[in-house]
Amino acid sequence: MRKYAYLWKNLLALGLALLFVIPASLDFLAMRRDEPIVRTDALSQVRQLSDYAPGLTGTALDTEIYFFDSGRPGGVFLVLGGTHPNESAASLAAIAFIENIRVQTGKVLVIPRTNRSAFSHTSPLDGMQDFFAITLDDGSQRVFRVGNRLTNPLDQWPDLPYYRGASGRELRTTESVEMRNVDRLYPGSLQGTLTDQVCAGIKNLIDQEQVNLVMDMHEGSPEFRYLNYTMYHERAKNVAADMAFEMQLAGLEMNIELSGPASLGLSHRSLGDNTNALVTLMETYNPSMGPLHGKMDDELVIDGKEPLYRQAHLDGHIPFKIPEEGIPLDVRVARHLFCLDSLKTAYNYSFPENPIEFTGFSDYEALAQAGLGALLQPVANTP
Amino acid sequence: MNLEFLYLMVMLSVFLLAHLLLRQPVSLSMVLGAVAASLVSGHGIPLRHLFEGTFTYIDTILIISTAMLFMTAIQESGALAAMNAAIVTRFHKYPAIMLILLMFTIMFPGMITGSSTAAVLTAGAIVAPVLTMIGIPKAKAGAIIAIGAIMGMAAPPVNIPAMLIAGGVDMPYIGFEGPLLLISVVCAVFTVLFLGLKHCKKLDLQALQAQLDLEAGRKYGLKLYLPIALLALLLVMSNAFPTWFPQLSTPLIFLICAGAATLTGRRFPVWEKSLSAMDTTIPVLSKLMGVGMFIQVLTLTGARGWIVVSCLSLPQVLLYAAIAIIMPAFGAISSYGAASVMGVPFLLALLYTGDQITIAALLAFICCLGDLMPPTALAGNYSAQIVGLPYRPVLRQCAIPFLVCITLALVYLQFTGALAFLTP
Amino acid sequence: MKKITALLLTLAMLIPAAALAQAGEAPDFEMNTSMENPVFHIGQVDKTLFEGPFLVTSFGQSADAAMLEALMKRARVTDYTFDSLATVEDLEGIKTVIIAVGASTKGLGSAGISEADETARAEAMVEAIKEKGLAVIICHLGGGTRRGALSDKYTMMVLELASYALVVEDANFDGMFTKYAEEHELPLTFIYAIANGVAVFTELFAK
Repeated sequence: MRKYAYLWKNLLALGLALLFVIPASLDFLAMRRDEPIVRTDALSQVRQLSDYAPGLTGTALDTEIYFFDSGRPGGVFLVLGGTHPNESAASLAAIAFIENIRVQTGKVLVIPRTNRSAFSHTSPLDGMQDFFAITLDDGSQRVFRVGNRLTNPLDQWPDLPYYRGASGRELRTTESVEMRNVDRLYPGSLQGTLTDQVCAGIKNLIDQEQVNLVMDMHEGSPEFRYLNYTMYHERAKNVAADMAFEMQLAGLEMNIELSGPASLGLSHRSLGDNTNALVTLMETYNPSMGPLHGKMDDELVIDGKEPLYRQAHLDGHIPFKIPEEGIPLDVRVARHLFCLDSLKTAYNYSFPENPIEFTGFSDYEALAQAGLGALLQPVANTP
Repeated sequence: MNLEFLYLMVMLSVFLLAHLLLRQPVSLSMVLGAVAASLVSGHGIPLRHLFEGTFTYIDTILIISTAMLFMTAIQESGALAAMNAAIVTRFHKYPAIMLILLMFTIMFPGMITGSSTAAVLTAGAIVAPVLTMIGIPKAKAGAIIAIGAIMGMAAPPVNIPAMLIAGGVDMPYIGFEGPLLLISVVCAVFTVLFLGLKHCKKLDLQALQAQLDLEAGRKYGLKLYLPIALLALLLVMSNAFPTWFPQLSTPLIFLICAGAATLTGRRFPVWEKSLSAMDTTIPVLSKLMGVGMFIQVLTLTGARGWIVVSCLSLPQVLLYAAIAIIMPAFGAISSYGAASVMGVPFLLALLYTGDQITIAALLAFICCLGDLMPPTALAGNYSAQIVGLPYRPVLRQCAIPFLVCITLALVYLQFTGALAFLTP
Repeated sequence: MKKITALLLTLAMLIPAAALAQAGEAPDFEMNTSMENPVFHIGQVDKTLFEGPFLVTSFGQSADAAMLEALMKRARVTDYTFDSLATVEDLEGIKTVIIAVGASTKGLGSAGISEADETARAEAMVEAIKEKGLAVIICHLGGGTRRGALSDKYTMMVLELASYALVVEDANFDGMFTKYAEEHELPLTFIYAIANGVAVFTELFAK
């Protein structure tokens, strides 16, 4: 009888655990569903990254590539969003770009969820939200995931104590988790881990589609040195400088920094080294990513308002100028979109014989004023 | 009043209430504190956050569990006893040198793995009986092991808090060896001599030999040491030569070597001993899980940010006080947590007072000392367990060396410019 | 014992409360330029000093040199050569040297040269420029992030040669540039952002 009492006790403990585990699992599973992206009549086709890296077929890391082909010869521009999903403005800018662009010359390719697996979980100990909702001008809502900067460990595990990326970057000790970071493994390897294959897929895409220009969109925590910076591969020097000029002339702060040898494996360094494309990477401010943030809520994630970081800036600990009113997602997305437009202008300045022309994003003030409520299309309108 | 401050107060009061008045274990009290703060801040009962926090330390938990199995195995096989006999017989004439060598032995696994727990449970377990045998009281022996393990964790090549701090400000983990080695070796040598030397000035080999277990060593010979040698070999090789040596994770290495220990010495009931080893370690593991939830909710409610930003707005003198008190105190939750949460902003606050690498190294060193802080006190609790005492008397012996370490680090922080020659 | 440690932990976490009382605004330094008034002159520049051909180069290999080249293009200056690693030989036939100052370890690494190499090149250039009596314009375009020991070393080297300075004002947070300009009667123009330099250079180089 005593023996059975032991068994009953264990079963009771298991039952209690399940009581918590089942609802929690539903929470985690909900993060595995992709949010819809509205397809406009400007869209030519949607392909999968597995077309360029067959090993990704059927995995959580296979992802959509949106093709906008003007039908007129010209340059090819690749835009990467969602390399780090938790850098929300970068992911949303890619979606807003897809839902509003009109291409007149050349081709534009957009990958809105570059690391698709990373959208399906959040970063432990950082207390991140799982979802946030944007209310559109017609009153409807669209819900987006926050995600993480790394591939979900359920899709790629374990992290090895040592991993050597195709660029020669060696990931070890605390950096070994970066073997789940797309932006450390370029140019990638088709024989490597799934994350490595994503990088190889993007490299193959650039080669096969003869991409001329790449922008990898990012955000950084307020401590990060390179907020409102564009990092550029040395071959993209003139294009980056002219792009910064365009943005400064429109009254926006924008600086540039050369991609250094320490950046091996990052897109601006190693895609630049291993393809013919001119590769750039832009960073905006995101207060929800830093360790000093206050309460995690919509005010922080959507309105970008963070009094604690503002205080740290006033005390002289954070050099980045943090305004009292915060920097909302609307403004950060507008900055990314205008940056894409300025980059195109700068590219055409250097390569008038092979231009890229698209419209929809040339007025920064209008973009910022319209905000995501106007830029994002109601899902019901999908043709 | 600041809302984040309110959430912090709720969290701490519920934790203290549950732990001190309702006499709940630390781990459960932390869960209750976390849930209470989350409710007050309007996040409801955040199941997803509680789970996410709980499983943060799964890697550490695997390492601790398997290290416990390894330690039990070499104890039961007789390897530990034989090794002690060998050390005492060789070095009994030079107690100071013997003590320093023993201290470096304790530090070694920590230097390689970056974990003080690994150091306590491996080399600490081997050295502990030697220390008590040569006449050092158990509490002091426990303190030597705890601090030695922490110095190992702080010493190069692998110092995880330093990597976390450096990573947080986009600084490569290069050039940290000099300052880290200087301060950790100075503090380690001071600690072992301060606590140990007066007890073993005159060692009587005859008397000692009566206490030594020479039998296992005679019966099984060098074969007995195979699991320990294998552990050292596998740890060093898979960390130093990852390009051609198979990459074994630390838990697997411990399991392999524990398995080897069941074959190379005295036979023992493996299943029963493993179960009882796990039983003794479950409370610490559950604390780690509670800590995970606690930090997750601390961050969710913004209390973590509030603590750091408030510390940063302190004037310079109080800033140093905060560094000396709050960073190690945060170790009560997690020393890695202290490095990533507090270390980065403190480094930013001190950035222009001297050499940046040295400042980062010293902050990391102070974070490491947090592994002595109850209730988690990873290094402290396991050291106490190894010498067979509760943590309290061991902690008391740690007090003076701890204060010396902190003071030394603060003094060095004032002169990082002058210490810059240690960095490339 | 447990009680004591728990209380100590609580007290330690509450230390920051001490800071609450004295949280306040730290004074920003007063900028002369702003988004609305992006250009501010100190002293009168003699435009006739600066004749082409121009050599545009960098001391410190920061990305600001790329911005300076874009600035030259947009100011529609045509008779310039750009070489961020220009040497003494490149001064042949040049009348005015325009130097972007600011050190970047990334830039040095990417150019494959050491800090010592760059300093030696800069010193040789300074000697040759003095010897030939060439006109020099210093451009400090990186703002506050391009200050610090190494950047300032190059800045001081060129300030001593310069007949005119163009500075993104953010870099003047400690008054270093205003102080130098006043003491040495150096004409100086502060701009709010690099792009505001287009108007300044267009006017400066207008024939």
